[in-house]
Amino acid sequence: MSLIELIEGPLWTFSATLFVIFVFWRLISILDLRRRGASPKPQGSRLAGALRALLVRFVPRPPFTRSGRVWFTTVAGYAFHLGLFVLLLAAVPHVEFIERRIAALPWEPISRTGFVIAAEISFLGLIMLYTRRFVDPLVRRINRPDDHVASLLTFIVMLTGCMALGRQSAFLRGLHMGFVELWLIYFPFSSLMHTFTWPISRLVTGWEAGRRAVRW
Amino acid sequence: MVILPHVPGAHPAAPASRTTRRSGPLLGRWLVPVGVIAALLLAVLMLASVSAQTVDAPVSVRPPEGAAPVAPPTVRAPGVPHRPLGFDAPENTLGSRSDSDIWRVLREGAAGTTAAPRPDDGMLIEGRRPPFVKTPRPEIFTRPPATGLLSDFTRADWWSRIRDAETGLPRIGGYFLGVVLAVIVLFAFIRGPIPVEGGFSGRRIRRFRLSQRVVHWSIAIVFVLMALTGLTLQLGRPFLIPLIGKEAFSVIATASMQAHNLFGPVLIVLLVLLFVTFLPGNFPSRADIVWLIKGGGFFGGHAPAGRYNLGEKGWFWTATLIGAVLGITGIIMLFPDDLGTRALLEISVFLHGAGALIVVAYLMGHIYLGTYGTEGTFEGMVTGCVDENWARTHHELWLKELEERGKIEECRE
Repeated sequence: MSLIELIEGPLWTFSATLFVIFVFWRLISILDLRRRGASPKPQGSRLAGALRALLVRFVPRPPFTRSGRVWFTTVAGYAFHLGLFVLLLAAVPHVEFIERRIAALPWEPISRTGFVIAAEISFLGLIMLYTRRFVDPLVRRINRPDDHVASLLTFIVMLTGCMALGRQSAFLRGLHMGFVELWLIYFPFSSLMHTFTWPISRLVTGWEAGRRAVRW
Repeated sequence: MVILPHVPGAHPAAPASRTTRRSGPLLGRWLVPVGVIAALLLAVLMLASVSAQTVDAPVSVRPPEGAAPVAPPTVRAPGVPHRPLGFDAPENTLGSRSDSDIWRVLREGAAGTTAAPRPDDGMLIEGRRPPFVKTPRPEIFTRPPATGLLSDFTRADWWSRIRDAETGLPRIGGYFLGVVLAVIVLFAFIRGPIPVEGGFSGRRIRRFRLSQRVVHWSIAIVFVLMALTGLTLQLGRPFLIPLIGKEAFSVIATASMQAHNLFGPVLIVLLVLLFVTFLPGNFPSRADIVWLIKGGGFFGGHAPAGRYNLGEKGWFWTATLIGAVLGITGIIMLFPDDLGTRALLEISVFLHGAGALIVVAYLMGHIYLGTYGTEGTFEGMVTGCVDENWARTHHELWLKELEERGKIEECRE
């Protein structure tokens, strides 16, 4: 078995299985932390509070809208995440891979121009957000090694993916796949889990605020 | 009623400080060790495989043994009798199988026919000299070609000579950067780090805003990436192929080209941000002359400067102006079919390569002075704050101006 066959075969199955198992494990564990027992009578609509938090938090709250730092984080954050999702789910090699290995997708892959634009927006956002981790004294202090590892691993996955864009070299494709598999294994145990936990966080916090009839 | 707890770390801006440790009874304390072990296992497997396997078997272009020979393509130029363009070695200088006649005609710009609907169609080898070469030497066609990059430019030779891995820009550029690197190393060896006069005072003052630092380090990351990939492409043939071979170089070159093309527009955006955030203070002033006369303090003595000294201003305007050239020529090279004629493309490639060498040379000096070469400088671009004595040593006029205007912002971090 060649290296590329190993990476695209057993190692892919191994890492994808670990990813699915531990992501579900962590999500179930988080949900299992629910409080039990009697609670005071609700003072407001919990569902409305949860939905409000889920939707309103997509933009900065009014007290922070005059802060350049907040807008920088918001714009760069959206640039990185939206670009990344476009790359992940609509790039031609990814669509082909997903359809070949997992399931057919109901959408068409984007053009190469679209790919390049999405990649550049995403890289710009990621690089600027990552440099801020070092040069912003507050962010530097609250960052943990996990945050740096997660960011760097994501950057390397994206970089190796773009380097393999020519689709001329099996080595480059294997390099990208190898880092993707490492990323998948690291994912459930790191801050990358915010991919799945952010709606839970907003809903729970909004639910609690709604129960107390607090607008926040 | 079910009330779910707040989930720290669910928002990107709020890291999950203790989520992993309190992640519930199902995970317990086994979560992290299992993950680490799994990651290590994968890494070991990958490393073992890398050492055991060889990927990317070269694609052979040779026909299988015993296959019937394929006749080479034929091209007919005006006035040249039809015959195959084989690459067999001539039997003698003007032997019966010599193709020197047809190549000579092609070099002179013979027009043929092609199915490609592009500008300059039919021009098999572009017969044009660069605009900065005023005296063509048509007699070159009757003489052996001269060696050297800028000698004996002909209508068809200049482009291939510039790109020649042995005598053209790639090799000259490599030597140029090697000399610059040697000068920096020599200077570091002789001069060592330039100290802060009077030592560090402990009082730190604000020099760079957060936006400037973010832009600086963002552009630093992309710039280094672009430099590495660009130099791989430009200098790879003369310097890397002899070391790693053509097959390995082809993989590296493919990866470098994709990354270089992709990060180019990102660098353009960042250069615009760099220009906007660093423009104030980077205009020429009379103090620059004094600073220059005193050698910038690099060889001893004190050289007062404003917010930025002449060297920093030079770097700023080099990055801005040559960066603009690199950006424009890079875009032309990204879209050659839509934006450029062949002549424009050739000029763009030349300017892109030459401009990049200048910027990379300046970049090496900048990196040296910003890290090892000058005490206390690196810290200033990371934290935004510099020691007061550092400011007095390197930017005395700027410090005095702040003091006079009462604008000194002390860093308390």
